[in-house]
Amino acid sequence: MGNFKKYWWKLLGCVLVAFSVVMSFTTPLAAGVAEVTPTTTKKGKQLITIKGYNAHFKSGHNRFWLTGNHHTTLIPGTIKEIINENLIKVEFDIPEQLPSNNLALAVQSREDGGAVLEAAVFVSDASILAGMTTAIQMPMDQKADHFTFPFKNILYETIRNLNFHVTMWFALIGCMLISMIRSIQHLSSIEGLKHDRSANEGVRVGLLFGFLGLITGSVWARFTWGAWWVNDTKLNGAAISVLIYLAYILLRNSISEEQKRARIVAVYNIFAFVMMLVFIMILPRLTDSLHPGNGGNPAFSNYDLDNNMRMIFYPAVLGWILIGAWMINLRSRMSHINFTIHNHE
Amino acid sequence: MNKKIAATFCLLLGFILNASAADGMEEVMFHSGKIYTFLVVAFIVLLGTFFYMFRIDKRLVKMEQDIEQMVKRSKR
Amino acid sequence: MIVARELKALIKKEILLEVKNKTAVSGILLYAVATIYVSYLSFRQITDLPAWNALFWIILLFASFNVAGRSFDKEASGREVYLYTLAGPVSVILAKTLFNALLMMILGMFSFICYAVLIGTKPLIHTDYSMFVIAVLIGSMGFASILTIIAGIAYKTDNNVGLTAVLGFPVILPFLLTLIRFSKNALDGLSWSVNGSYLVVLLLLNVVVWVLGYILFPYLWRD
Repeated sequence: MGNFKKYWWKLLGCVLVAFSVVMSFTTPLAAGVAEVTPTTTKKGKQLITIKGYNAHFKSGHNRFWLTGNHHTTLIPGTIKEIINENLIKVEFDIPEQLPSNNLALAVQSREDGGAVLEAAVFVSDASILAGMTTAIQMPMDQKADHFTFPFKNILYETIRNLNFHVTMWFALIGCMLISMIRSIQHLSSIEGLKHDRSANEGVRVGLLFGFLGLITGSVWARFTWGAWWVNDTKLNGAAISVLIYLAYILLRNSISEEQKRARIVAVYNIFAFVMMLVFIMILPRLTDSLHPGNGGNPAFSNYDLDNNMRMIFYPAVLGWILIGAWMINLRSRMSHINFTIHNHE
Repeated sequence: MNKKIAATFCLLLGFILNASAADGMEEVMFHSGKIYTFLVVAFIVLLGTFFYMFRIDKRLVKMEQDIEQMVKRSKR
Repeated sequence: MIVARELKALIKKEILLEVKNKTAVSGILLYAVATIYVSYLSFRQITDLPAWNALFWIILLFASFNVAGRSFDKEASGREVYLYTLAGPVSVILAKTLFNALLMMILGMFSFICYAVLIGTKPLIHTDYSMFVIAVLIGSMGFASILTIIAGIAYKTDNNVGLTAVLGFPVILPFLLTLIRFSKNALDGLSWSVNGSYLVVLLLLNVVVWVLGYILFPYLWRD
C-alpha cells in the first residue's frame, strides 16, 4: 500500500499498546512472601507460619531461611506442615547470638525462584553480635523459570498498573513536547496559524492524558496506600502541570485577535513545558533525596524495575505516545479543514 | 463475524494452554481462566477503538482531497 | 555592553519614578501593614509555629501579586512607549524583574519586622535568624521574578486584571511549598546541611524563570 509510509507509526502504536495490554493481563506474578506470623518471637525452636502468594509450597522444592546481615547469616528452616500451596509452617532454631534483631524471611524454589520478606521477624531476646557471618552465601538472584512480573508486598497485582497509569504521564509529556515544538515552529515561521492550531490540539490531547493519569493514580493510591491523595512532591507537581495547561486554555480564550493570540500563547506554551519538566522530573528528585524513602512504599518513583517488567513497559510507553501523536494528528487535520472551509467562503 | 472469531480464539487459547500445563499448575490455570475471558473482552474494546480511529483517519484523508479539489476549482 | 547601559538607565528610571510618585510603594506597604494588622486583631499572638510560618508567607504572597501584577500597568501611558522603542525587550524585562525583586525584598524585610512585632515571636525559640532572613529575601525575589514574567504575558491579553493570578498561581505553588518547608526548617533551627538542598531548589527555580523570561520576552514584546 502506497500510504503505508504515512500509516506505519499509527499501526505501530496500536500494535505496541495491544501487546502491552495482552501481556499486562496474562503475565502471572512471581511467587512472593505475603505475610509471616508471628512477627515477634524469641530465641530457640520457633514455629513460623508463612503465607505465600502464587507459591507452590506443595511441590517440595522449597527451602526457607531466616536471614540477617544482608542475607549472609542463615538460619535454615525445617518444614513441619504444608497446609496448602500458599500456607506453610516452618520451624527455625534461632541461636543465642544474632547480627541484628530484625530477620528477613527468604524462600528459594526451584520453579518459582527466590523471594524475600524484609524485616519479617523480630527476635526480642537475642544478644546482638554485630558483623556475624556464616560461610554460606545464599544465591538470591534465582529467577522463576517462566515469564513473571515482580512481586511487591504492598502492590500485589496492581503492579500491572505500571503499564497503564505511568504510560499516561509519558503520553502527557510526549503530547506537550509535540505541542511545544509546534509553538516554536509558529514563532519562527512567517506563515499563518497552522502550527498554532496544532499546538492547541496538542495541549488538549495532552490534558486528556493528564486527567486520565490523575484519576488512575488516585484510584491506585486509594487501594494501595489507603488515601485518594498524598502530599508528595511528584503528585503535587503532576497536578500543578495540569493546572498550568488549563491556564493555557484560559489564556487562549482571553485574547480575541488571532495573530496576537497565537504569539502570546506560543510563548506561554514554551514556558509551561519547561516548568512542567521542572515540576515533574527535577523537583521530586531534589526534594525526595532529602527524606529517605518511606520504608514500606516501593511505588513512589524509584522502582527497581524487573527486566521482565521493562520488556512490557517500554513498548507500552512508546505505544501510548504514538497513540497520543495520532490523536493530535487527527485533531490538527480536522482543525485545519475547518479553518480552510470557513475561510474559503 | 467478530463473535465467531472471538469464540474460536478463546477455544484455541484454552486448548493451547491446557496442553502445555503441568498438573501442579492446574490451580493457577483454573484461577486465571477467568482472566483470559476478561482479557479478550478488553482486547475487543481496544481493537474497536483503534478501528474507529482508523476510520476517522480515512474519512479525513477523503475530506482533505475534496478540499484540495475545491480550492483548485475556485482558483481557476 | 549596550544591554547593561540600557538596563541601568531603565532601573534608574523606575526607581526615580517610585521615589517621586510613591504610588506603588505606598500602596504595597499599606496592603502589607493592613493585612498584618488585621491578622493581629484576629489572632493576637500566634504560638503555633507552622501557623506563624504559613500566615507570614500567605501575606507576602498576596502582597507580591499586587507588586508584580501592577508592574506593567504603567505601560498604557504614552510617554513610556517612547522609552521602550529605544530599549530592547531584554533590557525591559530584566529591568522590571530586578526592580520588582528589589522592591519585594525591601517589602519582605519590612513585613517580617512588622509581623514579628505585632504577631509576636513566641514560637521562635530555636530559630536560626540568618537562615530565615535568607528565606525571606530569596522568597521575595522568587515571587517577584515569577510574577513579573507572568504579568508580562497577562499584560498582552484583553482582561489582565485577574489573569496574572490565574496564570501565576500554578507556577508559584511548588516554589511556595518549597519555601514554606525551607523557612519552617529555619524557624526550627535545623542546620544548613539538612536545609541547604531546599535553598538550592529555590535558587534553581529562580534561575529557570530568569532564563525563560530572557529568552521568551522578546517574542511577547514584538507589538
